[in-house]
Amino acid sequence: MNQLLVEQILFAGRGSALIVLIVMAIFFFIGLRLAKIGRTIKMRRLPALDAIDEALGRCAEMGKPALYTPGITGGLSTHQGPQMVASITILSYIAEGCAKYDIPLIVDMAQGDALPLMDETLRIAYLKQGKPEKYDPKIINYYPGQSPMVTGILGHLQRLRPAAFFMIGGLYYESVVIGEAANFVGCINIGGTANTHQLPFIIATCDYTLIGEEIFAASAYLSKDPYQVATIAGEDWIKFVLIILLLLGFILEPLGIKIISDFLRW
Amino acid sequence: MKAAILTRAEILLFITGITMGLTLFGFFFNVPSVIDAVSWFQTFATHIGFIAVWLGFIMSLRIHITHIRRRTPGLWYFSIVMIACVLIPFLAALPEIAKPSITTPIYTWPFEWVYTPLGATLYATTGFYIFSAAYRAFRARSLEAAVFLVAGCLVILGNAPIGEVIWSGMPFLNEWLQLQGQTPGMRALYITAALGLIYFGLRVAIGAEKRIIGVEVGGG
Repeated sequence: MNQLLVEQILFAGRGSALIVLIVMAIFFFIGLRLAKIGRTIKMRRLPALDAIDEALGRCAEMGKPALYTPGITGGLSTHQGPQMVASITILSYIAEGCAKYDIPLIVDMAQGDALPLMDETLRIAYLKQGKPEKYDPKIINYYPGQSPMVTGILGHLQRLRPAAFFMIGGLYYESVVIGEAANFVGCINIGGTANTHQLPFIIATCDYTLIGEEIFAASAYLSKDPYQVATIAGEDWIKFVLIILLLLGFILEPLGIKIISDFLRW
Repeated sequence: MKAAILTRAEILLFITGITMGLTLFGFFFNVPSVIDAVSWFQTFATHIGFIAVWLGFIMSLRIHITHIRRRTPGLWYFSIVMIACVLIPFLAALPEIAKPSITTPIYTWPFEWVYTPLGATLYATTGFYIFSAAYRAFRARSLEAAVFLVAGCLVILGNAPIGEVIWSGMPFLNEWLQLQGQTPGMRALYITAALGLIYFGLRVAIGAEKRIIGVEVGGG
């Protein structure tokens, strides 16, 4: 009776995903619990994020600006939205560094719906450093599309010669163009995206790269807060579970035991 | 000041949590009332996006009007051009705003004959940048870079007609490298990116992703 009810309510083919999601949530809260009882969870180094301070230091030493772009991404309500949000969290850290060391920051973006969020994030970043008067909304340059944004960034790179260039977010073809242009003017390049089709270009053009999931973990990593770091520990645990599922599938399927594939189709 | 920020954060967290919870429930469970609510949220998000675009438009105008008013050296005349480019097609299209599509040439012509060709021209430059990036990447400075270089050369030869002339198995090798070599790696990245995304969502939902909601970082 109960099984029939579940089958009526649950969409076919989504049961396994629900179970994986529940397991992930359990791991997530176990991580939080461990942090609360004082267990320190170590996180591997992410050189690209460590390099942000180095890049900002370079800007301060050379007296040159830092240039940031989240790429074309997509609107906040599209499937690229989370990359935009993750990008803004990293920008918040960079903006705090810029405010702290009086480094001019320029932000080039092309998402109208993310513009107010970015404006507010930057304002708060400067406020946190006790320099709200240093924040000028004009540091955000809004472009109405991909090609205008690329042109604008190329112009900024050529005219202002920034010492550091950050392109982190949902990047498309612009990654190779602006990445190479930043290389030509001698910037320290830090890039990152979860758009796997652009990763080869970012790896080729940037000094440091955030690959896929790393852009989503950036905020927790940069905070160095054990509570926040603990929330990403579960990510590694679920990876182990999925690897075990894959290995079991490799072994059991050829033997005609369909338990894993049946579960995944459930 | 701080108390105001915290209150704002709590409101944001509440809205985020409710929206996320309902959306997830509606994805997994066939409960019509929840699905309707999720659909309403999605429509609402589209409307918010629409309003935010207007907000972005107004902010841009504000910035450019300031440039003109202050006669910012090297910028103010471009700001006039920018405002003209925005306002002229907008005002021209206003009488047709209720129609399914806008046909007035003042609105369509700049897009079709200026914006689109310029965009295509810029896109065409990508080839040169790829060549330059490939030159930088294809240098055997380490074992990994050397493997990358060899694989890259084999794929180039496999795609070029001369590859098949050199060795008939080259297209097969190219296909093998792309399917058996590249696809598993890409899928691993897709899966881990998706897992990272889900955990990011969970952190946003419980308020652990503090930078985005504008509260002090640290302190649990």
